[in-house]
Amino acid sequence: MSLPEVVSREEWLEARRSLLEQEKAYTRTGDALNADRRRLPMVLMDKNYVFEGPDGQVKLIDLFGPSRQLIVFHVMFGPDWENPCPFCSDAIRVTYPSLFEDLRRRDTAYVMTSRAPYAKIAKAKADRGWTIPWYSAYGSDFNYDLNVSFDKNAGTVPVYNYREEPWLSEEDAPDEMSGFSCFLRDEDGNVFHTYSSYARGTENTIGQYAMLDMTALGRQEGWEEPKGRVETPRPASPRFNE
Amino acid sequence: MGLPEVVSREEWLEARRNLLEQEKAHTRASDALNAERRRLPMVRIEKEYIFEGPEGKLTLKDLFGASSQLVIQHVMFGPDWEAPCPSCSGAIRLMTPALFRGLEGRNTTFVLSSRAPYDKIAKAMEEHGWEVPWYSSYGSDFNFDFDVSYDEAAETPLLYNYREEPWLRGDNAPSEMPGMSFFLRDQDGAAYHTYSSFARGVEYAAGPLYPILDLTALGRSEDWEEPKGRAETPLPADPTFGA
Repeated sequence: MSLPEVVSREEWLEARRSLLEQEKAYTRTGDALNADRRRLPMVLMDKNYVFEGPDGQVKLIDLFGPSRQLIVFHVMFGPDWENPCPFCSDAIRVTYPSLFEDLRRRDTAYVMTSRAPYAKIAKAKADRGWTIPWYSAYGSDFNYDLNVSFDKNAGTVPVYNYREEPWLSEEDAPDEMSGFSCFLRDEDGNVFHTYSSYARGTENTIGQYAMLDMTALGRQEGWEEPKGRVETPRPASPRFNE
Repeated sequence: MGLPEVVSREEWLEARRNLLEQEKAHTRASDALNAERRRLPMVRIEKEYIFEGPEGKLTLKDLFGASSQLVIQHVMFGPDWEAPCPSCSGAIRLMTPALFRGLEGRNTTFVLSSRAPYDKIAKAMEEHGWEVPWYSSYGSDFNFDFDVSYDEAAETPLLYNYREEPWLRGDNAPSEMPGMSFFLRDQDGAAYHTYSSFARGVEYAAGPLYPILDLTALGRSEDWEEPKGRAETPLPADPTFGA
């Protein structure tokens, strides 16, 4: 294994200050990108999607609660699956109830949805002691319209991350993919779709990567540079389909 | 309040696909920046720093536990303070046991440290029901050497985020500042300082709140954000934009 070069504090500081300039430039680019994201137009959600939660059937607008914004984490959990996807489960495990409170304080409701029937969701929550707001989109077009579930017999090419992905119609392709969708409502109670993100577009929401990215060994995944920092690197997660 | 323009699905998709190209470029820029960060050299820790935790005194090396890497979040909680800083507390509230376990699964131990004596830390944890590994560096040079605590009488310049900040000597200047420091140890047990980050440099590492809000139409609802007019009463920037 190769570790970083050992130097004096003065030499390190010089290298660190150079990197800081790059970091600040990156933060400013991030601010500009976030502003461009907020400048995106939005689309009226005119279908009547029905979800099932602990208190029975609810509509998309009900998921907002008192907030103006709604974020939906599309947890991969198909109707025939026994368990939610392990990676989504890890993302749920690092989520504390306080996150939902903090988001609500910024006018934002945050919920999970999956296509599994609600009974399976309730069982998964009970088995794991999770207290998150998690709704079933079973029987609705919601997951298909937001490109996280795929009907292999639809006769159209599945789209994931805004690109046609013919492999998603193959027999052993997953029925479910992961993503985040954001919605806004106006004062008249109309709901608009403002944004969806998939694949690596959501990796910062997971929590531990931002921290690992600042370490000398990184995420310890095979694609990372410089090579040779870990003996047995992991595969990339989320995968790089590009 | 100004809301995004309402368009057809086709028009939205075109705008969204353009933004996706910018997002992918930003992700690649981030991968390259992370690689540069990992190419930084490191400095051997020669001083013996002593911390206090629930089981008594321990050294910096002890904080690594079984991992090769150690991440320390410098929580602002001075020796004379009655409570930790509210913004740091907000970050602690979001830390789950799974976060610490997940990092351990990647050979990385994550702990918090503050200059408040350990009994104050223990009291704060108990009052809030926090179960986090949080150590006191009271009486050690640790916080001063890593530029998150300040001795106004020091003859050397006071640095924050790698820049001399004369205001840190002022009467109303805080004695503590926030940041994160990163350490690595080699097979012989020697510990090295690889990296520290401060101010906005740690805003994504502090938890998922901002990464999630940054995907939304209203954003963080802070007053510096563009486009203006999305929130009725925008919040001030947190962390403050010192840089």
